[in-house]
Amino acid sequence: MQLTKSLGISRKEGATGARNRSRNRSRRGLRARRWAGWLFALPALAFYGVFNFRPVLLSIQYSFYDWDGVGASTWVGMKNYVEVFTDSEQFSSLLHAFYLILFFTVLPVTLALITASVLRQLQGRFTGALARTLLFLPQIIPGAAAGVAWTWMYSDNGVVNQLLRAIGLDSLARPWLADFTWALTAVGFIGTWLSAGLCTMLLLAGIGKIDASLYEAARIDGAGPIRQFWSVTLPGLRAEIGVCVTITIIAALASFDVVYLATQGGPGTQTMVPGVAVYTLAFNDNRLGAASALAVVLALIVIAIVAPLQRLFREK
Amino acid sequence: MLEHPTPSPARSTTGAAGKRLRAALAAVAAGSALATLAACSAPGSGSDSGSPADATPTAVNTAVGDTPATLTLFSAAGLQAYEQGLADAFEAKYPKIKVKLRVEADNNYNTVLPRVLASDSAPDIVQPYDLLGGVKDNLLTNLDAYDKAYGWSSKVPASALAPGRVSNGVIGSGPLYQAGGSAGPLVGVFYNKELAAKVGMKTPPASVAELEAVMAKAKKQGITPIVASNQDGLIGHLYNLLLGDYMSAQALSDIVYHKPGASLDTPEAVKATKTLQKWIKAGYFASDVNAINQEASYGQFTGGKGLFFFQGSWIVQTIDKNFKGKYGVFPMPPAEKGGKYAGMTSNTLAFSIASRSKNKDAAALFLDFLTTPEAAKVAVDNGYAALTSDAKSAGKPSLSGTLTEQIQAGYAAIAADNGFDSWLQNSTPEVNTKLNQQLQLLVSGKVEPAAMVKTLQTTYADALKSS
Repeated sequence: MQLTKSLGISRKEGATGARNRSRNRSRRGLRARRWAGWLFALPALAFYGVFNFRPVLLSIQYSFYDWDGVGASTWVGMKNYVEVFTDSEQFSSLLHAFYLILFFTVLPVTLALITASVLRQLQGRFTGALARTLLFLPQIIPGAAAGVAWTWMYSDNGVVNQLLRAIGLDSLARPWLADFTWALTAVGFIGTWLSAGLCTMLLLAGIGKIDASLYEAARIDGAGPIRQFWSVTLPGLRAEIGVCVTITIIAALASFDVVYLATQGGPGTQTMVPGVAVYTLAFNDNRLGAASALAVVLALIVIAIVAPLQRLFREK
Repeated sequence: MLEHPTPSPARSTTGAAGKRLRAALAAVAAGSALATLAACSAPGSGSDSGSPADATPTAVNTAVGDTPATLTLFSAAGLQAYEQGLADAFEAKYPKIKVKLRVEADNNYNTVLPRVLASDSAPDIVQPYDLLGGVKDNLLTNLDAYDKAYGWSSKVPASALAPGRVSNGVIGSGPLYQAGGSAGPLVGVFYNKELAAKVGMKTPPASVAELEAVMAKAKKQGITPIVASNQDGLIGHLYNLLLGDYMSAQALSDIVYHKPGASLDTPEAVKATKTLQKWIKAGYFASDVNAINQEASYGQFTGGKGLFFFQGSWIVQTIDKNFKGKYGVFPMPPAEKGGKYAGMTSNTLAFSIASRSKNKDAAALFLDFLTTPEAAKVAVDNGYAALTSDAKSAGKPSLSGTLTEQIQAGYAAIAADNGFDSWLQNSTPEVNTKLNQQLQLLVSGKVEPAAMVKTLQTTYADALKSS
């Protein structure tokens, strides 16, 4: 008892001492300390510059050239950018990416909101922990592995079709990823499965942060579970929903691994997304310039969508 | 990317002035970035390349067999066993020289090859997939001096070396860039023996019509006539066989080798495409063939899920060993009975030397080794066919005999008709991408043969124009 007390005092004294000293030399030290901060950040910044910023600049540069990646290149001005919007294949890949937002973002966030609210009631119980684990499981499986696993489930004799046939929906059974009309939707559902768990976990954490007294007050005022959801849960999750929406929209627009492994963009170009198109242009067709132009356009689109969202979801 | 959701106090105090300052800073940054870009030299101008590449050596040394050296052979995983076999046989003959394999996954091989060749740690020996591109970008060695020193042109059949010659962006004549012996895969019709017996196939079909009759019979008995994978566009093997049949091997090769005036947009090509379309519509493929990849198709074939498998004899290296003896192969029958055999092949015994190789003389010795019977034997053991003297007496294609005998016989039959051609995919990388998509569209019934041929021709012509 005695000991802890004295220790506590001495610590307090030490802290005030330091503060006093720092105040004494603050004028001179402020500027130096500002630069010292940058010095500490320098290694990280150097890596960022070499491995992130430089490639971005190089991509922008390449996008104005016709280049096979190895030999000589020719300056072509805006030609590659014009192609992004006039070449039906490249342009449709952008549209597909927007369609995927429905499956990567809208569906998972909606599902996650519902499951998170339901799980809130189960919190602390064994079933709650089990449900959380199961929901989060897809998140620890790499997208590439999921892509392969889902190709099996979607195949003609795969689990999906077996289920459909088992409940008498034979007419709906089809080779999903080979089906011209349904391939993109089928790929989209893989995305739903992948991101629903992450969103649920984020939202659950967010719900945990909401003051329990708010729910209690709402209950006393006679609010049922649904009213509580709209008036307490949803406003309280504003920031978390923002994070979910941002992450998943980027995942949708920049999707690559799942699509590449599930369909490689086929059948035809039905599931071609910008990520796979960039890869194909760059490494199959050896057209680095065209690939870079599409990548730059994609990056601009992502920024144009995500930046306003940041404002929208910022807590007041 | 993610901004912190709560505004930091630092930011709120700076206010409008801070915003203006940030905008100005951003403008300066953007401006300087653009200036940097403008100052940069054009990509690929060679400023970042390390050691200089010597693409046309003149002083060559053939007496290197006793000089210790280590060669690197860049190999695709699917060919690893075969190429390791070549390396072992070479080391047995020249113990002082080691040959190390650097193995890349099959589906990455073509993608990384140009970049690997352009790197400072380029391998010595490769089998280039895009020979024209490799020559254009100065990645491969002009072998003329070695050819003269070793006398390859006089010991190896001219037809085996012609696909390794490039002049002015056309394959077939000029300086030699890929050399070695002469052996290649038979691309033909693999069949499941048990199912073939069920449908009563006793002799190899002698025409496309006869082949079709067998497939119709199989379909009626509930047997899927053709196993294929088309997520990766490998119905292309069958499509190429049909193209060679209807267009002639020469006409197809002319396109692949960029002969001026060669065109795919011909009635014969449309006819070949229509034949494939007819088989698709008749249900000769599994309904999810567009979603199947090569690995899965191997499993389907060895699992007895279909009668025919249009593939190359390289599959014997990867296909389930338990299935050995249960399948055979015959060459793609000619379009009409008594017509000429045609089929794709590539010289698997011919390799190139990277222009950045530091062991060109030793690498050339390896190439010379490929012209020997020891190397040919390794090829034959791995499912390839070599035109050795005993292969000439291999006889006519039949459904009896061992798989190796059938491969030799089929290869000899095509050789006798001068019917070797190459894959349309190899004409340009853009055609490769486009063909896969078009084949998937054809399977889905979303493109008509005439339109498909026109699209492919346009892609081909555009690619030639830009290169």
